[in-house]
Amino acid sequence: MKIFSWKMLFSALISISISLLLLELTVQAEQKTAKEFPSLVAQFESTIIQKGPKDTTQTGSWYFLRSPGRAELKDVQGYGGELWKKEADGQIYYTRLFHKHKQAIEYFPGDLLALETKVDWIKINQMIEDELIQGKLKHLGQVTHEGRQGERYEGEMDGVKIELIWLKDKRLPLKYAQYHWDKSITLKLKQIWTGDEAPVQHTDVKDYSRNDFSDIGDMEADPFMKHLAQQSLGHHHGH
Amino acid sequence: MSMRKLSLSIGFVTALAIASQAQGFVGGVQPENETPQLWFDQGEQTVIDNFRTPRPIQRAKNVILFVGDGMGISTVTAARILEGQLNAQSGEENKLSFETFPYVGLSKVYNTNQQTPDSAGTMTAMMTGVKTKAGLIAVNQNTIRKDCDSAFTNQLKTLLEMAEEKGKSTGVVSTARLTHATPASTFAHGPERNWENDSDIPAGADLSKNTCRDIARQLIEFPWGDGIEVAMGGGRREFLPETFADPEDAGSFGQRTDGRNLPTEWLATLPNSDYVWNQAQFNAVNPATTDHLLGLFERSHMEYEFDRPGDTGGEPSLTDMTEKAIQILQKNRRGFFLHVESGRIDHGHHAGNAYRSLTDTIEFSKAIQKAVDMVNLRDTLILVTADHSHVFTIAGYPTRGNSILGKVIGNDGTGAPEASFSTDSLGLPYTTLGYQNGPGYTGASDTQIEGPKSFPHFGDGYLGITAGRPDLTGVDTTDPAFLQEAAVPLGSETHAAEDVAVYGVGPRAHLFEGVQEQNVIYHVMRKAFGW
Repeated sequence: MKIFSWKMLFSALISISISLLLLELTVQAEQKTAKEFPSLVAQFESTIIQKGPKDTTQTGSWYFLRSPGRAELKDVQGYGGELWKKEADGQIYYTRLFHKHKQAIEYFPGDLLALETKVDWIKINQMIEDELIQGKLKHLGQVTHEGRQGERYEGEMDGVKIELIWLKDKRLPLKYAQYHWDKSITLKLKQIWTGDEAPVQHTDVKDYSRNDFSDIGDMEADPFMKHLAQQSLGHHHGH
Repeated sequence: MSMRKLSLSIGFVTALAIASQAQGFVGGVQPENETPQLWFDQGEQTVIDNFRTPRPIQRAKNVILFVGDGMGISTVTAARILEGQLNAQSGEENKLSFETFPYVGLSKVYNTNQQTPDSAGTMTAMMTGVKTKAGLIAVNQNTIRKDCDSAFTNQLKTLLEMAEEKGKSTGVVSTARLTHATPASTFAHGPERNWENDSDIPAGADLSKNTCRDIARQLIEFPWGDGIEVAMGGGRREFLPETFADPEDAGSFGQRTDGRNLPTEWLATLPNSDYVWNQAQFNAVNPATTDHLLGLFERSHMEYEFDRPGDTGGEPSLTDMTEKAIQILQKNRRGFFLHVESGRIDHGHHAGNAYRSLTDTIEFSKAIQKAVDMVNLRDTLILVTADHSHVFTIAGYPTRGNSILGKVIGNDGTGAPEASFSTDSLGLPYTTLGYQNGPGYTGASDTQIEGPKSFPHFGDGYLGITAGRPDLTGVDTTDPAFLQEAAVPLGSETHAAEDVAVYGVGPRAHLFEGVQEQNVIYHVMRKAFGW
């Protein structure tokens, strides 16, 4: 049985950019107490343009779901996603989700602690580092972008030019773009829902086969884990 | 000073500076007392000592089996060096506690159906005297995996069960979940290592058969003797109902669907029993008045030793648990059998993170020393071994005392330390430690960019390497989160098939000599008991 399709690998590639934006596991220390994040579901489109003799473009579409103590990503095709939970005692849990196969890989706080840095809960919930809108980028006033009014910021961080249009009341970017020397990564908000009309809901992992990150290596007899561990070199990467 | 001496001197100082700055250890230093005469004298004395080493033939009253899960010989060597270097020694000359034991043999670890084994089949071999297939828990190779009916008629009695039957006290201690394959193989029987709680059991299984019951339940319903005296480790979720809020991790629950609260049953069915889940409760346990102790210190596995200080509820070290277990077990004048597993050496390797594997190995060594200090080696057999190895290597030609976690600094043509890192064919430095496969592959994955990887890294989509090997010159490879490079990209590093060592001390320890099948370990322990 073929576990992963070309589309899934492609989605995984798109998730590189999302991971860079959202889930950098070498994240900086949480700088301030988390503020309230309004519950919502948003759809984002991500685009990576890799420069070269012939530029290549990859796009992906993602749902972002946010509720108190919970932030989740789901690709619109429904292949996979990621879930972050912050519990009342402040501990943060991370779960990788494989929806098509009803599989969840759970990272315990101990796994994340091993990073020696705290996970940036604010960044997870608003998709960008708070410092960007707290002075790191220059505020250029209000702008209307695709029918929505947002705050425009620009600047540079670690040699990378950044453009941001910030949706203040929702604490999400309308547009966020990084311009590296060899590629550009752009995230655009396409749609937003704040009520029951949202097309997707948070994943209930109780319906999933759950395994610990630390157990994967001992599950060589499990077909899904075996295929997960045997991912071949990425010659399918979107050309 | 001649120019030659000057240049050597500069090279030596520079090497020291590189080693100190980049890796936190001093490389290129030999212990001052190491003279040619010392080497000769030490070698001669070892042989003299071996002549005098007794081969005690009396029976053992107690047996302790220590298993470092995944602790292959390269892991032992690297941990030995790391421990020495952490104690400001050169490292290579250091000995872990069990390396001072007088008897060592090699154990062939394959399963009956796998060249490279898993922990279930290997621990079954050690606990029952019979090699079996991977994934099976104390049942023989005629069992069909996941078929509990076939398992029922192919059960193997474990040494722990025999000890209970003979009136001895018994204990199981692990830093993994108590229901994980290695500890489970001491007290449970079944066709599938992953049946840790009842939600894992297939619908329609005949629960009247013990082999169709989950592993957690089998621990609590253990039918032999007066019940297991000590069971400590992780895996709380396997014992608690899904409606029961975990006491340590807010928002989390047990995983049992049958509604049973097994720690409560432990307390209700066993006299003078106690159940603890955190450090404070553990500390409060009085071994003199506690006859049956259940400790479940994490929902899943316990923390790595390196991360243990940050645990929410606090949890004891492997040394702490070993000490408490022996204190309780020693009360029985008929003796005891104890199994202690360092379960997370294996997990650190699977994650491609040598630092955590090695620091857990060092803690394992301390736990063994604690046991040695507490028992009488004239009546207690202690065996230390691994269930299997990992594809973990110690490579290059690092100079003496080079940081085991660092980049290789070799010696020059005169045998003195080089002034700079050794480089590969691309002109890039490389680490002493590495993996043949695993998450440390340096191509981009879907979670980390191309280049060196940080723990934890679970890449389920890899790209080919476009930039060659990463330049590690400015990378602190001694960082606890550093993942050593791997040649073959796998989401999880794998076990390895080579033999592992068996170290023994105490009555009849000499019975394990040479290269033996892994199931011989059981027969040594059994003969030591005189059965």
